[in-house]
Amino acid sequence: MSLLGHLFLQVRDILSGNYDKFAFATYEKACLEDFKRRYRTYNSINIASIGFEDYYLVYDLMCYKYKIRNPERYYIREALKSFFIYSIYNKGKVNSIYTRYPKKLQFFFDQYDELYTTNYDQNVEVFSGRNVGYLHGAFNIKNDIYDPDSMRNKMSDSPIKNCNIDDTHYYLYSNVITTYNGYSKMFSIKQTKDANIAIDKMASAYATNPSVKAEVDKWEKDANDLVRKLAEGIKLKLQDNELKFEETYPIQEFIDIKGNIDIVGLSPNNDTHIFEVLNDNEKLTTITYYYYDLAENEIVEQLLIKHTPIFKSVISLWEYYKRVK
Amino acid sequence: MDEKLKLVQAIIAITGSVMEGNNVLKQYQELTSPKKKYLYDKATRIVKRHNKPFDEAQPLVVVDIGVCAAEENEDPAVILLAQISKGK
Repeated sequence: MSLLGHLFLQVRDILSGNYDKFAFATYEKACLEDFKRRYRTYNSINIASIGFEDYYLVYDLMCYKYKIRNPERYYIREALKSFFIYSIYNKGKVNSIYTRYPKKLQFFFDQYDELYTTNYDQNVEVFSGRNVGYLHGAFNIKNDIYDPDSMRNKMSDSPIKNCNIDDTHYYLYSNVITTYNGYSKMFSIKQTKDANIAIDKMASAYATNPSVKAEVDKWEKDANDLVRKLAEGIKLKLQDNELKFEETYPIQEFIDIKGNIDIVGLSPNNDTHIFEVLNDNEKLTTITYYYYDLAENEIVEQLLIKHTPIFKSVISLWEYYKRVK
Repeated sequence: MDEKLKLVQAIIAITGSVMEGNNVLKQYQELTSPKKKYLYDKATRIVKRHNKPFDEAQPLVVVDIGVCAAEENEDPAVILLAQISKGK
């Protein structure tokens, strides 16, 4: 709780530009500018005014300022994540929001071949009775590092070894992604897929190319922990070809979408990585964006520059399904 | 700067408020007497709950005053000002 107070106390300094020198990466600078642009319009801010993902930006900036480094930086961040996830899950109440959906909304979901969400809850899945792709993870999908049978836990530094899992709070061990920027979200989403491709290629090269074999053997004693882990992963793969990191985010399926897509309830501010995937998809014929505020449309047009999105009001959409008999 | 405004600036720093000092004073003065008293009672319970050395108490008070500010639709600095002014 104290951490949240410390984070909020930085907001005034951030808005005054006192944290500008602590944003280093391009995405950090862009997110900091976006943070200032959005919150400088407020006359008054309280702890609940700041979006929960924005607290991660504040935290990263604070880590730079106060020289908080890994592993502490990681552990504190995970504690912050647990705090937010616990609150969002709200003792399971988040999963009963669908009981307030208009019954006829079922027709809306029925018209699509595939459903994707960036929410962590199961409301759409339960209400529609359909499979849903959880692009940012879900409360009920376990994170690889908490699965005792995962490839990650077959490695010598098995992260589950020193972890007491409390299954009554299973959602705290889920694969939900919480961060403030699209770049980090996409990195997390693609991480296991990219790792599997790399390990596959390296294992194949190890088995067929003596110079690669000699190099990988050297990596086992490398000073860099990541290099040592890569060598260990390659050897594990060679022992069991079926072994792979679990890919729990349906990103490839989402990249491969064809035809028409409707976007409802997606923020053009926080989810730019989703828009980037759609913008690069040449197989899409129509993109319809349901806006809440007309101001969103200009941002969406810029994000989907390779397409000509159609804009419709989300308020009218909900009103229609409330009225329809 | 008059004494009252100095006090408000200190309250702004403690609560992390982004509101200008004059606006904090103005908003507080615009509250009705019962509302001032109500906020004083609520804020006093928060301050008493975190009766610890300042360094430890401040971030905890910031969270609870912030939640109170959200519930009451007031600025955090206005809430703490109500406490310090004893609701007067």
